[in-house]
Amino acid sequence: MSIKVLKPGLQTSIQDLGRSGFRHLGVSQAGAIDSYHLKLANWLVSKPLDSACIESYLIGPVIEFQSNMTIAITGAEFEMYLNNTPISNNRSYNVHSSDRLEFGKLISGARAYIAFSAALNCQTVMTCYSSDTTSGIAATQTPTLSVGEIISTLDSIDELPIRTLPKELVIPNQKNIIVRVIKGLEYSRLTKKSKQILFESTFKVDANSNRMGLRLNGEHLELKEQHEMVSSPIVHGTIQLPKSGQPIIALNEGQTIGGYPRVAQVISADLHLLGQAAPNSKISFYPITIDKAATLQKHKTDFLKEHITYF
Amino acid sequence: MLFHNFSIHINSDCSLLVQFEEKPNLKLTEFIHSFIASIPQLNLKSYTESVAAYQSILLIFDPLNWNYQESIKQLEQCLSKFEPSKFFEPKIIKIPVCYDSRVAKDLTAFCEVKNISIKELIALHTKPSYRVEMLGFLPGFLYLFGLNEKISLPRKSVPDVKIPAGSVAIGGTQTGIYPIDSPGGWHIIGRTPISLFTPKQKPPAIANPLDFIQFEAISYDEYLNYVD
Repeated sequence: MSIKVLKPGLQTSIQDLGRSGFRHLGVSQAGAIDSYHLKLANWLVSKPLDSACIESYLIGPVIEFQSNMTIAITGAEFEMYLNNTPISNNRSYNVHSSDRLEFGKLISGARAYIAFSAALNCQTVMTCYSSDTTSGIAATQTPTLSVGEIISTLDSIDELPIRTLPKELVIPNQKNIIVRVIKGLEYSRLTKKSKQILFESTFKVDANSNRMGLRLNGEHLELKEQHEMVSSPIVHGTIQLPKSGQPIIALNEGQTIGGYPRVAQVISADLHLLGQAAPNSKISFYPITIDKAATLQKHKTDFLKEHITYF
Repeated sequence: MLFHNFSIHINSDCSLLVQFEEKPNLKLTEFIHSFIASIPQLNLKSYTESVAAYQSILLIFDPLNWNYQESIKQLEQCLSKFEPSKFFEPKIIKIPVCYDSRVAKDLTAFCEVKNISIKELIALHTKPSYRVEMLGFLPGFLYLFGLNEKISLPRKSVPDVKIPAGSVAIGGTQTGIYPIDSPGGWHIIGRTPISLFTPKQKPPAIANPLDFIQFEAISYDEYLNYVD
């Protein structure tokens, strides 16, 4: 009862919704960058929504199932084959021992989530299964899956009824991603022109982005005067401005403390959208109020509850 | 009672930042950690965790149904009447360090720039008891206070791509130990054979805020044969 990694792909790792309560030790939450699609993948295989999935980034893996289980893939769209037959996102498939799932070319988005009905058979580390690929904290042998690695699982029900994602829940992957933000603590230090650039121009995602952060390239952002920051806390979604004038958005493996001005903050309801930002895709920021951010978070949670029946 | 002027800011749609006005100092550090330790008893609604920094405290809440106005009010009240208790019993933690260019690639260059011998550097670096101000940046990274300014040196302009775990380094007016392999811009002057962060251990980090760190010089042979 296991899943064997034949080819690991680029940055393939086990992720659930991540850990909380360890930031005071310098440990950030890790977890699925696109938590929305992790939840949907789990729903398709009738698992609790916060279960661990395989997250793959830009280049997907080739894996072999060594027992019967049900699987589903969501998020980034890849060319995919199950025993050489093309398959698609957003529905479940019953697979059998020695079936092989192969990822091909990336079509849209950046991160795919592979859910499997069988439960993981390993110990959690610091309360969850998420791999922190930056610091190496991992429940599996290595933080990113390696060639020949065996992911041990428990027994699964042989066949589950096939589930398809309700179309209301499908979010098409965009080349231009708009995320809503609130102003950051050092926003007022930006020049008038930079404030305008921040909210009115688009930024291109740099190839050096990873699970720590999205590095952006765009029109140069400037502070009114140079400002030496005392090291201060950073959270998921904080948009920092290093001296280069090119912003960085902290993701799930971002530092807990940093030293750059915090110019804006992505709202909780939109954080998952950052998970589908591939290199060279575009991001723009739309400012809203804190009250609006709270309402949007509630809407998103209610919307998900409404459309997926959970038992 | 010593009052610390503060202001509370909305940091995100699920976090608040308490910012203190005064420059970082021991009394403030004690106040910050004492307050954080008392948070579980305050019954702050939707509260999940907090992070201490030199001059600020970050409090994180569950974004769903979080009433930030209520949290700000609650926090303001608690902070203005809070009296830090003297419950800290700081430990003194000794960390063996091998100051040898075979494990510390910047040691020779560092001593040349500072115009001191390796022996003098070791004496200056091992003399103080460094106070742990906070943990953060990387898992188990300790922000230490107390570096002798004679051995401070601005960070490298081009950071190294990979600094090995255990490297003891100086960056600006700070000294620290890289707990894991990591990129970094500090000057590597030594290496410790002990591990600073073990995820499966409880607690995973070797020190808590307000503990003291003392570096002890060991030889290259002792480094190689060290059993953690």
